[in-house]
Amino acid sequence: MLSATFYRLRKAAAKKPWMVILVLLALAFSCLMIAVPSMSGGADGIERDMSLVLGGINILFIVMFNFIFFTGLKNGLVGFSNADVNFHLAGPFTQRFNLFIAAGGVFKLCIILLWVLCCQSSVLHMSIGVNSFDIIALLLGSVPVFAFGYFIAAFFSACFWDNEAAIKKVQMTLIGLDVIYVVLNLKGLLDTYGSFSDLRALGLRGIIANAGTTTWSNLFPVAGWTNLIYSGILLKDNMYIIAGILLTVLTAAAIIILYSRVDLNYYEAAIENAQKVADLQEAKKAGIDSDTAKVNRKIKVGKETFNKGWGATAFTQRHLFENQRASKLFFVNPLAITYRLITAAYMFIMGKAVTFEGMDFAGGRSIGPIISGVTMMVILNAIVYGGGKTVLEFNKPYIFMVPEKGSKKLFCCLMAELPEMIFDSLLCTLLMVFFADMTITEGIAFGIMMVVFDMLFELIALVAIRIFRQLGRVLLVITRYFAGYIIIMTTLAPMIITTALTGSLAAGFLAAAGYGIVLALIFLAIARNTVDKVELA
Amino acid sequence: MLSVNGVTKKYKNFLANDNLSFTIDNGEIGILLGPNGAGKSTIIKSIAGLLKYSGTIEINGLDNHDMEAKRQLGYIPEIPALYDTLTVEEHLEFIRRAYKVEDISVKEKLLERFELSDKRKKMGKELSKGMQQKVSICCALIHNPSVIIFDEPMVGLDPHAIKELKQVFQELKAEGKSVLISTHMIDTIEDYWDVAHIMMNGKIAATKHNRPGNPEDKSLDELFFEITEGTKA
Repeated sequence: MLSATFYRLRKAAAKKPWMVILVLLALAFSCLMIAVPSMSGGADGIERDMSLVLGGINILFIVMFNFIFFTGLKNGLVGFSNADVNFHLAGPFTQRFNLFIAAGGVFKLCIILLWVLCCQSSVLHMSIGVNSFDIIALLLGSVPVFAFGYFIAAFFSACFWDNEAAIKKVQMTLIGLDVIYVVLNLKGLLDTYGSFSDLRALGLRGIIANAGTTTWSNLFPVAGWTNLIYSGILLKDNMYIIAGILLTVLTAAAIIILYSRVDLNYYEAAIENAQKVADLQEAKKAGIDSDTAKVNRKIKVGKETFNKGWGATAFTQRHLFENQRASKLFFVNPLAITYRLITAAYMFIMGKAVTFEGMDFAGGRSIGPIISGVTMMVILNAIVYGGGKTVLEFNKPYIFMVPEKGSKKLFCCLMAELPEMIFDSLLCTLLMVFFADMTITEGIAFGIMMVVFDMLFELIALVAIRIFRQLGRVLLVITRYFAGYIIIMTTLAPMIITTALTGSLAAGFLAAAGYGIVLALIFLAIARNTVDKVELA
Repeated sequence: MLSVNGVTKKYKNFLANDNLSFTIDNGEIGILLGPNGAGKSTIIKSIAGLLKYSGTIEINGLDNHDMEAKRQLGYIPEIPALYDTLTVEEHLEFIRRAYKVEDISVKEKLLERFELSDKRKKMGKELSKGMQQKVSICCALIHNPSVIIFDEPMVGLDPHAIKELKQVFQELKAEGKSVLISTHMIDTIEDYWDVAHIMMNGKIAATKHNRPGNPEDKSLDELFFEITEGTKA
């Protein structure tokens, strides 16, 4: 059975040699990134604090466990294809064995996450002082964390596939566990340090070092036990190693017993999910896809009514209406909000932890949060608006067929995105003022720049699909994102020069915005005939 | 009237349509028959103005990219292209508004005709494939086009819906509209067609007019298998 699966994977890889090359390149890059934290040999002035390293890794393990558990619970039965249904589910294999087949998709996601983590090795080094050996430990430790987390969650998902209330209870149990963990840790820290103000004085690094190494953290299911082993290795404490290995082995045994003793009956749900996946793939082949499909899953019909728009403006109104249905507000794109929350969390962590020696502003204001915030916002907005509603409109025939001028239809679609871009930029401004200590003027200038960038991402994507449609779907998506990043990078020049000359960050943002507007107008001129020049699929 | 003259379409080095020419007159039902990969969907998409091609395609004497030609064309794609978060009723409302159709009652008529009234509040993502196909058909008919092109319209429909759709074909024909249907399912087209073009490797390999009672004529089945398999059925 396994050899047959490996045979299938080998054959699939042989058909995509470029994918193999990409994977090899990604692996080589990962090795380089793992090596980076130890390259300076301590010359970078970052001191290694053992508690901070262990605490940081433990907290990362806990986050990973939560992520994989909720993913497994939600998607445990989604990983089957129709081929799996025909060959595995209908074949002479047990239901519990076939559950492993669905793990493939989730583990691909885990590998991508670990790769992203590898790429962040410098940031981790600067923020919590990890070295290359720690990164390797983090990667190795994530294997049991992801594997056990997934198999426990997938088991519950398979047991309770037809019982939403039971699934909810499992979710609430882990959330409850998280809350208990936070409360106990907080209580322990308050007992040690006396008051909240003393705790705050520790700083984020101090809190991570303390909270991540408490008994409660080491006892956190799977994540804490894995970290016990590494703690034992670093602290040369055999008791930690033995306890960690024992708990990990017992968990593995418990999962095996769980799977072997309980009768599972989840095929109905698996078949239904496999059909949905097949329908999506078929639709993609026909050029119909939705980048926001996952967000759309939770949307329900409310009291809102669609009764505006005439001719091309019907597109504008429909886009606004879709936002209203998804978020109750016509100017709110739920996908952008999700990404903004990620940005906020990233800025909170990186802003407090990352420093750029010698690059900070006069007066001691740190440039770290600004760089991390801008980078994260630009990367995520390229996804939100580089695959925005206007771009997705090209996956359906109506924009081509409705009897209105192509440029007018395109303009109407773009205009529909402006309110959400402005609202999103307002959020970006607030994040920058709150987390990066920007002044209101700087924040507003930054917001203006982000609106321009958002529109630029959308226009670059439109031009890319006009020029590179023949590349195929995957390469087109990669091309349009990277083209966006490269072009946005060019705005750094006017930004830096203006900031250096005037000493004003706001002026720098406005200069970048001005340059971006010029670029946007050029791209608009190229994109305006997109509807008439692009093929559907 | 639909007129296709010398249409050639290439995907890189693959010739999908090779100098195709045919006409569907008013009040006529034309069929494009052929195995998978014969080029049927490509010519249908070209007629709908979704692909670039060489040659000319005219809708009632107008180039198919002309605004008036677009207004007179209805297209039902092979895979229903619905918006995930719009309901059935909102789809029809959106298309009615986009095509500037003043008559509101046409929406209700189509919903009833295709038995979608009870599904009007269902979102696109909640519908079965057959239901999505029905919505797609309603969207194509709401602006009362004079030329209607169907790409594999029977796929995913239940027998009742197929029967209903065949009735729609007959009605459209009776109203003097030009109907072009692409399909590879010979047994579903029965006898309601006027002209059938059998496609093979991007070309029209044979054209057959429906003239019942001529004993000399080969049946459509026989002709199709003779062309596609090189043998008699």
